[in-house]
Amino acid sequence: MEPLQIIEIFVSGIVVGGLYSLTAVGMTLILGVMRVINLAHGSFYMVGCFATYFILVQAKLNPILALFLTIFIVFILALFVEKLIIRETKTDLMRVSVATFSLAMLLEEAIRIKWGKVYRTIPTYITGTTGYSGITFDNQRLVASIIAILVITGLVLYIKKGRFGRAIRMVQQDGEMASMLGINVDVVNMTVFGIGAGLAGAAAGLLAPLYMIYPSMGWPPLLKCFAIVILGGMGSVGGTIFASFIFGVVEVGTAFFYGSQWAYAAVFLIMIIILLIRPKGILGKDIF
Amino acid sequence: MKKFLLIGICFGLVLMTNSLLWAQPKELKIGLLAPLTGPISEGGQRIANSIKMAAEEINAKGGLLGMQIKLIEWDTMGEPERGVTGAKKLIESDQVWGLIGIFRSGVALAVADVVAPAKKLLMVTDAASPAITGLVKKDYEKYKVIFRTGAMAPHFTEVCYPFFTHVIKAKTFFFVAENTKISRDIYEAAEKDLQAKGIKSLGTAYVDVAASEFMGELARIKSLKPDVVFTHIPAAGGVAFQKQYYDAKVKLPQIIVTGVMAMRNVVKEMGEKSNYASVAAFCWDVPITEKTIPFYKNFTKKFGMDPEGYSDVRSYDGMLVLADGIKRAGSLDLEKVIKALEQTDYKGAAGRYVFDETHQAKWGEGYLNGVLVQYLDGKSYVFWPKQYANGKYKVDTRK
Repeated sequence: MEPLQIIEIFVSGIVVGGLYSLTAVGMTLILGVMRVINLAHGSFYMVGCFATYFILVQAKLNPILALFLTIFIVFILALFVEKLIIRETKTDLMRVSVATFSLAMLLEEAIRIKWGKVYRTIPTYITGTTGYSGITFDNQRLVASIIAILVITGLVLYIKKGRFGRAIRMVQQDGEMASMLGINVDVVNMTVFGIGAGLAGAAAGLLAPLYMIYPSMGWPPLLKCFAIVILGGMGSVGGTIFASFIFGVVEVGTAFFYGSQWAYAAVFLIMIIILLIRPKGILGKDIF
Repeated sequence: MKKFLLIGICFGLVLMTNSLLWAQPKELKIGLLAPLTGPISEGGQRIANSIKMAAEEINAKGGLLGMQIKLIEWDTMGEPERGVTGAKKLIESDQVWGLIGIFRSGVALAVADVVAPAKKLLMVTDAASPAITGLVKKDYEKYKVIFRTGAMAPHFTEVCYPFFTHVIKAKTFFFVAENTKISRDIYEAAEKDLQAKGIKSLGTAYVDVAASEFMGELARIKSLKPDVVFTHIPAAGGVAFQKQYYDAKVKLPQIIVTGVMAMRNVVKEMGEKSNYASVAAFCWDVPITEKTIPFYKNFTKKFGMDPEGYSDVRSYDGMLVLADGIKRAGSLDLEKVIKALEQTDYKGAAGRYVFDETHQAKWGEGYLNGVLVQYLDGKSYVFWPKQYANGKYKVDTRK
């Protein structure tokens, strides 16, 4: 085992974790502020990937414009979903979970009927590779990972320092009190849901060129996000980021040392161990 | 006089009704089973489209025994219980003469126990488990209604062998595949067969069916440096793996067992990331028979996508082989059609169809065989076997 290989595995894991974090943070934000387990989160990512495909490949628009348009489309879709479904069901955890699961199935089938008869993929719009001593990463992946970290950092700073961010935190801590202080909780919830889904849209815009695009593609990221969110601590943005990196490094490391078939098993084993030691996750608090 | 006229009219009416009742049906109903919705509908649509295309061609030439083929579809969604429900509905309610299609082996095995007692012919055009035609071997009298124009699991392995033995002259290989039964069957067969040829396995990596990140696997492959990377990730992960393989500059010769990387409409969208990828396919648009290129042209024109050379071509041929059997039998009598199909020697778009004693379309030189294809700059070319080659295999020499 050469030191260079260990570095390669570690860096690969960090890059993969960076990619996972963008989707997972959106989920944890919705969970932390609204107490909603959004089982349609993977479907927002899927819708974003299809949107990116049509904007980039069919309409042949600029990739940066495509990224912003994708975020906007998913954001607007999420606003409607929040107004029509989430707001009506969120008082009951089971009801909202079933509603978002049904929405996920609905979106998947609708996309499949309309555009899902063939597999699709997108050529990478950031080309080339960056490497050192045999360790090579494609630039699309590196840039996606860096943008993911920047977006999340910006979001964390905004929630901590910004005016609306303070309102979000107040709603997160005590919705009723926030309402009494004149904060429109419905608007905050709607915006948070839109931002959370928009992060899935951002992930779609950045990651779609790396993967295949098909209607059921939202489920594997949902499962991973859910595991990451639980590992990091439900509702904790910092914990989610940290857990994403753990997830990435463990997944890549296990695949290298013990074989790919053990990668998920190892990740979930670590999740069980952490939950036994820290029942609320790495940086979690009671949110229900 | 009036009385006789009335009797005469009545007699005439009875004769007319009788002749109408006993007239030869004008259409031959055949049930088409495929996953038309759900996660594997891509393959199911290819099956259905190809069978419909073949039926349309037969109908345009006057039909079969004077009848027009009428296909009645049933969406199995790839689930055995839906396959059984569909087969029963098609047989009992729609009164089809026989069934065709089927993507998943589990569905085919479940449907086998519906068609056998009902004495209805089943032409399997895609599902690959040896257990399907194994039924014919196990109990010929019961399961002789089952035939398969699709490939059998070991054929997926054998189609790759020339890459190891003739193209690369490999000594070692590494197997990376989806964690499925067929992948494990492929590896089991490959390990044994290739070892006999002096080619040693350096290990395996079975990835989750939904996996999209392969950094760990690629780091492992790079550290082991096998002569050939043998890949079987036929679904969506196959494209992600290929993109990452290219980006990580693995540069080791790789052979991919058909699947998504044989879909040229997908590969075109990959851009340069498909460069140097080699695919072992069951058919390509090279003149394997005089029907191959017309099939590719017509399919592409009709459906706006390239055939992937397995589900589509074998299903198209399956319909033509079935029609050929009925035509040679000269009737719809099941026993006669089975006998005729057993004597099949038919040139389809993918090659020559002759059934063995288990009703499996024969594989190998002179029958159905495969081709090895490589992608470069968005184009594909066949580099093996030599009689169809329109290009040479190229090694990735990027810095």
